[in-house]
Amino acid sequence: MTATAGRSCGIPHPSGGLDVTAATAARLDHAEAINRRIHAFLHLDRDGALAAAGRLERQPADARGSLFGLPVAVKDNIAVRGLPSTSGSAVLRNYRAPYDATVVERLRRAGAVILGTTNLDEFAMGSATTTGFRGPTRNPVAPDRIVGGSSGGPAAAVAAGAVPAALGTDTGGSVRLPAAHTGIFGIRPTYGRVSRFGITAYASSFDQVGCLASDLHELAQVLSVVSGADPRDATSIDREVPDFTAAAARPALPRAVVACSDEDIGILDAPSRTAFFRALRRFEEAGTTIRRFRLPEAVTTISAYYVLACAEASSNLARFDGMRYGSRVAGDGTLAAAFRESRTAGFGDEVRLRILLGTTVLSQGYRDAIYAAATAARKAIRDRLSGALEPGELLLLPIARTSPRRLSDPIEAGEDYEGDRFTVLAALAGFPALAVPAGERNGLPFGVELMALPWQETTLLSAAAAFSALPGATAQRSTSPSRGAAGAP
Amino acid sequence: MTDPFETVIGLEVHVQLDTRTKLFCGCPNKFGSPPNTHLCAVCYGLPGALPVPNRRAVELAVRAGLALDCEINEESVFERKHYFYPDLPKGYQITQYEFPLAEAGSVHIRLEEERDGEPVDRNVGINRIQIEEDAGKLVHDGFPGSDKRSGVDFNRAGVPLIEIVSDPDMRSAAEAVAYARELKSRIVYCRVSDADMEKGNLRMDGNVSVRRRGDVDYGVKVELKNLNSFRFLQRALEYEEQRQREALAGGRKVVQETRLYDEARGVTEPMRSKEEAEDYRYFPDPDLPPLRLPEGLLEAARSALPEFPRARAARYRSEHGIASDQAGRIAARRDLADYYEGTVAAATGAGSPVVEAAAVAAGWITTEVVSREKLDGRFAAPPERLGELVHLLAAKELPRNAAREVFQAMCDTGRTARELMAELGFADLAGGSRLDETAARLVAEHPEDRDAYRAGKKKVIGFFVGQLMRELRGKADAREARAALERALERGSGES
Repeated sequence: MTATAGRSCGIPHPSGGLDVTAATAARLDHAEAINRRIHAFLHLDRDGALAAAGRLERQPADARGSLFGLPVAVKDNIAVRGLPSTSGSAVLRNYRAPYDATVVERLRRAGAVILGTTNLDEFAMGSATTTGFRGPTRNPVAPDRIVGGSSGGPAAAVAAGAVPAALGTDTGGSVRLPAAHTGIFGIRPTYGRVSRFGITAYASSFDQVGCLASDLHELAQVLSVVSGADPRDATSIDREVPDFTAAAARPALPRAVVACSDEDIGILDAPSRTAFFRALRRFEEAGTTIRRFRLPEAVTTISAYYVLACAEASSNLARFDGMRYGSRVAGDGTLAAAFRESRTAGFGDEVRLRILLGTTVLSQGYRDAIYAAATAARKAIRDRLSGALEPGELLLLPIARTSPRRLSDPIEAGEDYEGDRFTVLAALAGFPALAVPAGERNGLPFGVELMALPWQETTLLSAAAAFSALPGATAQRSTSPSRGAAGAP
Repeated sequence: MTDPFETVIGLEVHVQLDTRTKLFCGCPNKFGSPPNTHLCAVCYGLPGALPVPNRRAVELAVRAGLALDCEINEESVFERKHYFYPDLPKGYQITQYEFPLAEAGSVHIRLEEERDGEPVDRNVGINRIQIEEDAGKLVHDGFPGSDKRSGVDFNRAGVPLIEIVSDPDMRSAAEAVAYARELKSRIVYCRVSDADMEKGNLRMDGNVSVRRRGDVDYGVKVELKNLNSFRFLQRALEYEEQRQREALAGGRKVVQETRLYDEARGVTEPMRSKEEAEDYRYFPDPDLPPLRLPEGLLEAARSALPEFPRARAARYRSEHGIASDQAGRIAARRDLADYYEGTVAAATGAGSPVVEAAAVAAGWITTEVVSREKLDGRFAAPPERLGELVHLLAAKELPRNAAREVFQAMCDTGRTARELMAELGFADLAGGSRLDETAARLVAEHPEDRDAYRAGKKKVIGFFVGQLMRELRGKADAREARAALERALERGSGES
């Protein structure tokens, strides 16, 4: 653990100790600099971070946690006590979290230094990090392009070297997609592995906190710290947390790679298809058993996901009514108007669209027809994926259909929904999935997804370590200043 | 002429559970605190907060289910019921819907008055019992600016409730009241809630419809809200029943709607009609996995279930031989019944026969104990102490007239009846040797009066009683004194 501290954060101090304050200050300066370019952070907490660094320095060496001095960024829908927590929405423009999310508590206890909160799509609804009320985040690899979303802020902060690791949330792919678009690692753990307490809910039965990092080592370390049952989250599951850091340090190819079929790959553009086959071939050449698997139908998968996620979202976002906190618009003075006007003014277009969609599918007459059908489809998808995998085997999937588009490119309504075709599978099933850098196409990062049966994150981490070390692997992009070694950010 | 119409009533009763904390968070479940002092991220509905069910609330709800003869579902589901209102922090209430905690129970009611020449003696079905959270409360006055705006007190938000939904089995307002009273009595008896209606711990809504006698289908249903005392329940149901009957008799239609009872004017008025009724968009709460009863909870609830008043009173009559009205009065209150049983147990433990101990104990408890309780709200002496007194009385060791004085002293000092008896000079008086010895001495000291008595002048005994009472400074029981003297006077008769 001192190795980490030295590598990621501490600057050797003349006294022989580590100067966490100086390292943190350097990180903050760097974060400020990159932020002007790519807008990864919504709020940099210079005072809080330096204070935390000071406290860490005064800690006796034997009391240091596993993340001692590690600077991290946290997506803005994760509560950090005292910091603005807007979820990228105007409705929460003036809201500050009065408490720490469980994951934040755990990060602090392990010695991490929270530099600030990062950008996202409004209420994590989106795949580009363009819908937040403070504007889009740019891709650090190609600043005229989207970074992917909705955890675009955390991904950009990591990829630009402001922090070695960050926390995001993944509802339908929100950690994995921006990880793939920025050439870093991003994990969505098994549903129930990590507490959701303090995460502004988008779709509760899908939402999971995920970790993003430029290096598997930090990814695994952070995951270890935030994992484990939480008495404040009834959906967290009491299950032993394995040593993820050890798994990440122990490369091991999976027993078999189950790759999606050629038909499924058909929706990728040609360069992405080529890149995917290249990744598959790498496993094959290393001697891994390969099977192919026809994924559950795209239309069913996407519909089930959006019906259920929007239904839950319409309910979860009902609390933003302008009454107790958040912005209120009085309207004509009646109660009904105050509710209607506050919500109409507070939410952006995409959020309103999803609330309306979710409200509709739960309404009388539709609930049984649509919501119930989507629930059944979800179960069928989970069963089908369970049936496709044995313990120790991994499913290999693409993440994005194309390279990240230019911010200036117009998009058609619903286009982004179709793009979620691969990532929503793990979300629907509740399975763990890891975005792994797999080279480039069109000069832009390309990532693949490895998915495992529930609780098999160690298999994912060891396989990703093995894959990244295979000949021809360019897991680390040369342009990504990922190992932001101390003093050289 | 028989009544051409039939009224059909069902009740929905909300009962706050007597837990220490709220249903889904650790905030206190406490009535009467300053507004908004029992709040946290969870019950205030802050972003990111999550509910965790209170085990104690589940236990109490299960107990209520058992007390109402319900089937308890090993697995039930929390769902979200959506509507917007300022007192509802999350924009939805966590409740149960498709899979409630308990179902298919029943409550027996009996009415003294007869209806249509038939006595009312029937079971009212319990359709379901569901666990849910309470909402906050709007406050319209008593704070700065209350002339211009209303406030919300969220202390009540998240307090655990059960909703007890009856079947439409009641046929008159009186039956509904009898049902509600029986429900309340059971809830209080098994300590699920104090069901104090003034505090809003028990709240009732009624569903009323009227149909032509003999019809199979129910008439159009009207929901009545705001029935917050038995008196208002009765009046509102009677008013509504009459209103619907008049409508039907006049050939008009009853509109399906929700009506509010106006307590001041004694009428029901439309609140909202079904056309603008809300669609609650129920769906299972994704924050809460299905509620599986923890191992042992059902058994624990079952064993915590008390014997209910009717069975208890019946046992007191048959096993203790006490009078029906006394048995009923004692059994109706669980604390009183427990106190009575403790007293009888102590007395029989000291050697009294059950029937005698029960008779004396029942008499004392329904008079002295209850009237003292009225003064300071508690049972002045523990049941073991009263049991000793009861035993002394039953064994005639303590004169009846002295018992009250001893009881008072016992309540005031907390000492035992036996100690106080000696101290107050009552020892050995009742049927004891001291009484007989004194009587014999007095008889010997007044030979003329003795002879007069023996010669048939029985009135002379009054003189002896007076003497004896004076000797014993009034501590003896007059009847027992008289009996002792009679024995002494008869003893020598026929001799000398």
